[in-house]
Amino acid sequence: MKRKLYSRKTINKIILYFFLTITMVFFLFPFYWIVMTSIQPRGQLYAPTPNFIPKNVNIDNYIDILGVGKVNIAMALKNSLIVAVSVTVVCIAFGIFAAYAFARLKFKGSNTIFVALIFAQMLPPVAVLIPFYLIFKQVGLTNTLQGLVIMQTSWLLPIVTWILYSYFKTIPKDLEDSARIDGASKVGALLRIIVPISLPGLVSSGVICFVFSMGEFMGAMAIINVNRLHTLPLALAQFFTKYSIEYGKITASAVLTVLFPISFVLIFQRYIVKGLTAGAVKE
Amino acid sequence: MKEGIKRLFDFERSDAKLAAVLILPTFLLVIGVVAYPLIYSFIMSFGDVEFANIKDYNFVGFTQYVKTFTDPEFINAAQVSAKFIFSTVFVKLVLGTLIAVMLKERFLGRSITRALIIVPWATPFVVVGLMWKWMLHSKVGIINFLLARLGIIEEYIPFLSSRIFAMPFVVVADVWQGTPFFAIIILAGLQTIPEDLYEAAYMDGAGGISAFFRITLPMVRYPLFISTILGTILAINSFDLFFVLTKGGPGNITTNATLFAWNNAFKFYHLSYASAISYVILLFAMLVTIGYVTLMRRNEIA
Repeated sequence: MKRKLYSRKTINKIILYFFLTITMVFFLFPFYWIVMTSIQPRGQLYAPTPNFIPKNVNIDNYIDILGVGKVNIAMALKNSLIVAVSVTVVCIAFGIFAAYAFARLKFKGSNTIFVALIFAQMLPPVAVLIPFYLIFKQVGLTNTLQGLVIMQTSWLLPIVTWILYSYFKTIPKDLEDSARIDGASKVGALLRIIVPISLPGLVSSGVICFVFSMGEFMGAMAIINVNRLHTLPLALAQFFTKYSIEYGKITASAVLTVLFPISFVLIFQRYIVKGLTAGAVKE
Repeated sequence: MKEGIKRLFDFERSDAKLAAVLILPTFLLVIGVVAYPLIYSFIMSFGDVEFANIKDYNFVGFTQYVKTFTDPEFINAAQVSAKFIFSTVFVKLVLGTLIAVMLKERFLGRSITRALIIVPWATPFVVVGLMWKWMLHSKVGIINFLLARLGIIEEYIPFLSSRIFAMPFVVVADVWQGTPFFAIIILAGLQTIPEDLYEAAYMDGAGGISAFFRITLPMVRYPLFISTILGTILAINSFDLFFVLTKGGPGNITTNATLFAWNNAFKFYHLSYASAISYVILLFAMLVTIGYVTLMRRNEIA
C-alpha cells in the first residue's frame, strides 16, 4: 500500500497559495514598477538590466513635475481634485433626492423614468461628445472646469441614483413612519433617518464618482484644450505627444494620479464592494 | 388665493408633487445633457456638416449611414471592436471566476488580498495605458527583459508596434484593469451559495470539479450575466487605453469603432459622418442594454 506523504487538504492549500501569489503579482507588480521607475535617477532607466530594488532613492522626477514646467502636474492635480470633489458632491445631493423618489413615492411614470435613467447610463459617451462640444461652445462652457463638472455629473447621476435606490429599498419603512408620527415631514425623515442609515451607500457611490471623475479622459479631451485647465489624465497623455518620452517624469505623474483614487478605494473598500455589487446579486 | 398658492407649494401633500420636485434636478440634467445632445447628433447624422461649414446644414438622408456601412475603414473598426469585446470579456469572465473562487476560500491574509485586488479597478485608464506602455517598451521594457532572460524570446520585440502583438497586449492591459471588477461581482454571488449544497454534493461523491460545474456555475449565473453585459458595454466604449497604448496602430490594426468615431469627429472634423458612426455604436449598445433591462426585470419578478 502506498503511503500518502501529504494529505489532500495540504496539497490543495499549496496549490491555492501558488495561484494566489501569481494572481497578486500580476495585479500589483505594475504599481511596484511605476513607483520603482519614478524614484530612479534618469540614467539608470535605460540600463540593459533593470533594477528590481532601488539602489538609491531619487526624487528629482517628483520635484520636476511639481515645479513650474511645461507640463504642470501640480496644477493638473488641483484641477482634477476640484472637478472630482464637485462632481461627487453634486451627484450625491441630486442622487439622494431622485433615489428617494423612486424608492418611496408613488407617482405616474416612475417606472418609465427609471428605465430611461438606466438607458442613459448605458449610452456610449462618444455619441454625445460632438453635441456636447458644440453646445458647450455656444454657451461658453468649453475650456471651463464647470463644463467638465456638468458633463461628468450627467454621466454619473444615473448610476448613483441606482446604487442609492437599491440601498433605500432595504431600509424598513417603519423607521421612517415612526419619525413621521413624531411630526417630521417626508423630506425631514429622509434627511434625518434614511440618509444617516445609508451612509455606506453614500460612501460607496461617492468613491465611485470620485474615481471615475479623476480618470475621465475622452470627455475632458473634447472640451478642454488649454494647459492651464488640464486634468491629470490630460496632462499625462500630453507627455506622449513629445518627441522624447521621459518615463521618469511620466511614472512620477502616474503615481500622483493614482494616489487619491487608490487611497480612497482602500480606505472604503468594504463599502465599495457593496456598491459595485448592488443589483448584481439577488437579495 | 393665498391658500391656493400655499397648497401649490405644499409638496408633502401628494407623492407625485414631491417626487416631481425631488427628481427634477436629475431629470433636467439627464435630459439636458443626454437627451438633447442625442437629438442634436441624430439630426446632424442626417446632414453634411463638417467643422469648416458648421452653420451650413443640408439634409442628405441616409447618406452618412450608407457611407458608414460601406466604408472599409469602419468595417475594419467594427471588426477590431468585435475582436476586442469578445476576447476581453471572455478572458475577464474566466479569470474573474477563478479569482472569485480562490478569494472565497479561507487563507492567510484573505481580507487584505480582497482589498488589494480592487486597486486596478481604481486606476485611470490613461495610467493603465502608460504603465503597460512602459513595461512593454521595445528596448528597456521589463516584459522584454524577462522573456529574454527566460529564453522565451531571442530578440526584444516592439510589442505595441507589432501587427501580431499590438491587439493582444491592449487586451492584456484591459484585462488587468477590468478583471478585479468581474471577480468582485462574481465573489458576491458565490457568497450567497449555501455551504450545505456543497456538503450534500460531496456526500453524493462529487469531486471539486464536478461540484464547480454542477453547483457553483449555475448558482452564479446571474452575476456572470450582469458582468458580461456591463463588461460588453465598457468594451464597446473603450477608448482611453487604445488612445494611449497604440493610437490605433500599427496602421489601423487597433482602431476600434469608438476611436474611429473620435478621429472622424475631433481629428478630421467630419461632424455628420462621426455622428452617424456614433449612432451605429449607440444602437449596438442599446441592444445589449435591452437584454440587460429585460433580465433585471425578470429577476425582480422571480
